[in-house]
Amino acid sequence: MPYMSVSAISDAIDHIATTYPAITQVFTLPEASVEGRSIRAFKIANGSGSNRTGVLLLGGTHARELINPETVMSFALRLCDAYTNDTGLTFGAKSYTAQSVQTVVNALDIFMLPVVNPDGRAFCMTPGNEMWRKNRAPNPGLPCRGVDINRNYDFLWSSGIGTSTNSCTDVYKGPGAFSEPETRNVRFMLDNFPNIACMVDIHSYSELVLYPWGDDQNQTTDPNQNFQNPAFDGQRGIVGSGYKEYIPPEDLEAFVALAERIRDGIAAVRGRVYVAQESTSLYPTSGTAHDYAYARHFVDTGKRRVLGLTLETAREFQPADAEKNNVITEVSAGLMECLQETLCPADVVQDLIDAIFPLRAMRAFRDRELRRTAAGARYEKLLRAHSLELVALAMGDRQMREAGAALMRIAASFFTDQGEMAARKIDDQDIAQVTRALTLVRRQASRRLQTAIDTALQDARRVRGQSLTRAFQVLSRPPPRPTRAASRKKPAAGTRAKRTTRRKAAKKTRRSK
Amino acid sequence: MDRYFVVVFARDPDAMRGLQRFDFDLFAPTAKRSGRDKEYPFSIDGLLSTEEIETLGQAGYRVQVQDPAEKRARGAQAPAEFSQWMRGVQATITRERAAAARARASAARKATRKKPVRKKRTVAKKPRGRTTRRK
Repeated sequence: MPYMSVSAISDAIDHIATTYPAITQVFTLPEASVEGRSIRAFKIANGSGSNRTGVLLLGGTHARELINPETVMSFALRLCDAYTNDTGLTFGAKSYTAQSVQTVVNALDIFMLPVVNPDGRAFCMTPGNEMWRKNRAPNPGLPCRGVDINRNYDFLWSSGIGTSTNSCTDVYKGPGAFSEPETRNVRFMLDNFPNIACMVDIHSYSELVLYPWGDDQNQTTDPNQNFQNPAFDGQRGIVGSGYKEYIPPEDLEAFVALAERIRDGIAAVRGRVYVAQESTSLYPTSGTAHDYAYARHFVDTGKRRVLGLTLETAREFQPADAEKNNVITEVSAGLMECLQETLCPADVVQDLIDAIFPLRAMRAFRDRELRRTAAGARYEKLLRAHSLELVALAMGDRQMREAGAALMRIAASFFTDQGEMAARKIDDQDIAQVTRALTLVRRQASRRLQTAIDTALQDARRVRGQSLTRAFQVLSRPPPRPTRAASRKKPAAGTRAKRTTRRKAAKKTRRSK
Repeated sequence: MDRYFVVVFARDPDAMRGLQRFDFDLFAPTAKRSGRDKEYPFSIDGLLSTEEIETLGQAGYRVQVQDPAEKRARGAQAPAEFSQWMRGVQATITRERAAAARARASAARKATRKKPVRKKRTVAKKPRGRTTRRK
């Protein structure tokens, strides 16, 4: 089947909106394209709480990468279909249960902007222009048309790294950051839906899952070397300058975990192993969407951190039919993994009970204190591994939701209203409440989650009287061995005596024989 | 102007980054250290005209021409309209639902299938105390 025209994609959006009205909402973005085409996005979600986590999927930024808008549309349609019919999803050798489909749609706001650059796509589908990459900006006073949208975002735009001021090149960055309506629409999405925590910009080609930074290599030790520091202007993106871009270690971990999960999801479909790596590689860039999305919370600390990724699908821009279907299938599995990785039980519980917990402070504690200890890292990993199940439990049962809320309240009580650590220690009441809540969750949990809860219940007893930070340090040490006196202790009355009596009796019978 | 899909090989990372000054259509994410060619271990894919290929050759890069642009261009083939696309996706959904149903049925069959009962070997017990000798 040939590639979809711009109008076919628009019809597909209408179809999804009319067939699944309960879970979809279509938005016309504020800016039409340069040639006057309206640009539309839509949301797939069941529910409308203000605390829900959002994921944004972008396709069709570069015109010639024709496969990606179709991937987004196909994924959207299949997700809506599976949700409505309460079925699972199968992508080649990779399957997702009906419950996991229900959970992601019930818990997340999934925003999709399938064709960021409709003018470029329409032009690209005319003979002789199939390799057009940019939008169709007229660039008055300049010799050539078009701006590379993925070099037009406000991330080190003026640095010129990996961009050009020549309008005739494919990486022309435009007359200014956000000079193009297409990039302003993406900014609109991020500004107007501040719950977006993850953004995947889907491009082609080279089978990569890329995470920031794009301007220079990552480093996690010197926060001074960062994109906002003018002292390093002119040194970024140059081999041997000594400059490397700072990324907080906890963010790097989160990026790597997300990128590897997407990679593994893709690989499970038919064995194509994408490479998960930082986007600098050997060819630095600036003004890209994923760097901009992630950089926003450094520039304005009031904004939520957005994990921005670029997915480079396929092995060519316009794969032939059979390969195109394979790529769409495998990338869909990667996107499903991305949705699952973004699920956060804390967000879901907060949204369901309509409460406000100091999640920002709690996340900061998780990133700065919890992950630094072995026990904390173990718990974080456990929580991540079971997040889908925990979210499903919280959404499916009132008691589970209340148990989750109780756990959240206890955790929140260790933080002040200003988001700082409260000076209090874990007391008997905390332990009793945690035990009660976890025991309740355990009743409906899978066997794997039950094992995790059992460990948590045992650990809870060891942290009485400790501060929250100290508690995880204590748990990182092996549990205390029983004292000598305790190990010498005689066995419970009766057991030893019974054993000796039995032994003696057996001896007697042997002798008598 | 004819253009070709190419792979450009560079001697070192500096030479790779140096490619940016040419303003050619090179695909940043494809930049990698391939290591196949010891003299030119770094490579990047691109779409170049014959003049651009010559320019890079003169600047010390090795350029491997792969395909003419038209060979990999499928965008202008009569585009699919919505109904055609919809039929394709529906067929995929039907196919995969059937596969999932088959997998479920097979799993259910396996679960309900009784294990064949093994006959226990009956071994004649030896009488205790006495032993019978063969004559």
